[in-house]
Amino acid sequence: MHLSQVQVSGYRNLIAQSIELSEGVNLFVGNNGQGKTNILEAVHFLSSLRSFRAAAVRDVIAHGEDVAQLGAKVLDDGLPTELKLILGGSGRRLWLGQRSISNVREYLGQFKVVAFTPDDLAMVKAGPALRRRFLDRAVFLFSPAHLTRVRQFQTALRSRNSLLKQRKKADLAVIDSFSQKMAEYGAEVSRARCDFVRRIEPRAAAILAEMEETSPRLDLRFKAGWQAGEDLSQADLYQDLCDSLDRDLLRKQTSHGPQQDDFEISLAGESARRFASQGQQRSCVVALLLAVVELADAELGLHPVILLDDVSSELDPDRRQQLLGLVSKLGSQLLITTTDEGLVGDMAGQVNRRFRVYAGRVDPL
Amino acid sequence: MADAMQRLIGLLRQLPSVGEKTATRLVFHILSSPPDYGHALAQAVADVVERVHPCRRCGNLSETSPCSLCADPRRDQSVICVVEKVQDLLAVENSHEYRGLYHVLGGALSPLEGKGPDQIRATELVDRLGSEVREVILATSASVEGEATALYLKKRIEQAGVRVSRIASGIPVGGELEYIDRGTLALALSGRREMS
Ligand SMILES: Nc1ncnc2c1ncn2[C@@H]1O[C@H](COP(=O)(O)OP(=O)(O)OP(=O)(O)O)[C@@H](O)[C@H]1O
Ligand SMILES: [Mg+2]
Ligand SMILES: [Zn+2]
Repeated sequence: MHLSQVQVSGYRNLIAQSIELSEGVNLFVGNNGQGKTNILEAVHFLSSLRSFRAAAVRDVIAHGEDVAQLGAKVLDDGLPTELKLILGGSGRRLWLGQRSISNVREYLGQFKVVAFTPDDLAMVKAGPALRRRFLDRAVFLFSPAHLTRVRQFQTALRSRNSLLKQRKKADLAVIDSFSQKMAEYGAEVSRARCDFVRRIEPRAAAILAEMEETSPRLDLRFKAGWQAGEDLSQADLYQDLCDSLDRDLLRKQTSHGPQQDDFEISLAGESARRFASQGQQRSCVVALLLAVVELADAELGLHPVILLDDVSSELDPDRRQQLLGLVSKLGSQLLITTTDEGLVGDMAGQVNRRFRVYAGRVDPL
Repeated sequence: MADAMQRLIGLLRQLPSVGEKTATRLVFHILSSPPDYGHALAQAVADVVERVHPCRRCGNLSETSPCSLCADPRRDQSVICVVEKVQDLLAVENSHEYRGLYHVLGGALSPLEGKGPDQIRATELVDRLGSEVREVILATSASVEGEATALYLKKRIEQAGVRVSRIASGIPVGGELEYIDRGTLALALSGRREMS
């Protein structure tokens, strides 16, 4: 799958323009604040109907504009698809080719991307929230319904928390109703995350071994944020919520649940977060990213477009080279951004097209 | 533009999905129609406001209280279908699958919007469960709040010893009854299951 053209208009600081992309590696170079991330975000929006930054729809519409319009030409095994999307005005409108689309599922199936931001690249050493986000986005690639479940779970959780905070005497029957829903959606969310960790583990381990012959063995272990049995059942989560209720009422917050899920990355049996070197941590992340891409190929026969924002900040030259090498082996299209002018020369042999980004304008070099 | 026109445009604009342009177009249309139309429109608006009120028993909007549904002896008095909004009641009526009574909650439990049991006429519902009522069908929406409301009401209704069923799934996630086609809704009603 590759993106041959992106059109933007009324999106963030980008001027209305059409950008012709190449297969393989596309490099966007520019100073801070010029619009590099905005381009990747627009591509992500076209694919997933949401930003990879925590942004509301109205944030992405250019200041002073009412609507943003995005378009993409995608080639999948030579078959062209055109996507169009208008945000703002009276909500969101979608098209595939000339056909207006009302079923979001149908739209979401057409064009898949995997985005990695500096946050993802700092995943090993960061807090669990970033690792959960990585998991949820990766699971979403394989089953779009996961996003709906996560949202439902979050609504149930926020409702429960808001009941725990209420000043008047808590209505236990109401809390219980939201605990039940939280358990139903939440157990499903945790199971999908856990299952995904199991599926990528062997691939990530193999990729790491290939990258670094001397690297210790990589293990991934999902850690449910609640008293979960082997099967991560709804009944167990509900039981945990009931058992924690007294404490939750005191703390005015839900203490256990999928909102505390995490996964542990370890090298030779030791926590990578606590013991691995900077370089090893980065290698682990690269291996995880590539494992997601490889799994998409193996399970879905899909080559998602890879978006890599701000590579220079988290990846040193060696790992960058390895990443590019492995990505090109998998045959994925890559859109990367950097502020580092030096990369343009360094990567000359691997880059298929270069762009300069300046004040919202994107020009091929 | 005449002041009276400005005032009417301002009022129409407060209606959902009516903007300045549409409001202006509507006012010009009224003015170019025979005066009888404008008078009839004004009178109809006044009548709706003055005569239509929620039925004291079921919450349906009606000119009489009890409403014609509650007062109709041919309707099955042993079943109550619980819905969030009057629009949902109309959707269930239009499915022609149901001949019992209704209870309109006026929303769903929503802690995030500060809506508790007192705001959704829950006690009024329980108070209606006399000896005649044998089944309550919970037809709240498939949103998180609608589902939690169904669970909550189930507990209270069961305490009163009445059987509780939930309309079958097949209603899309987050689905609002009022937007579901008749056939699907009829299936959801006939395929309702006792809540476990
Ligand atoms: N809705 C909007 N309308 C207009 N401009 C916006 C909007 N949202 C963000 N911007 C502008 O876009 C610019 C940021 O673009 P972007 O994040 O793509 O920069 P970048 O090139 O990735 O920079 P860096 O290298 O620092 O990451 C900022 O100048 C910001 O003010
Ligand atoms: Mg950026
Ligand atoms: Zn009535």
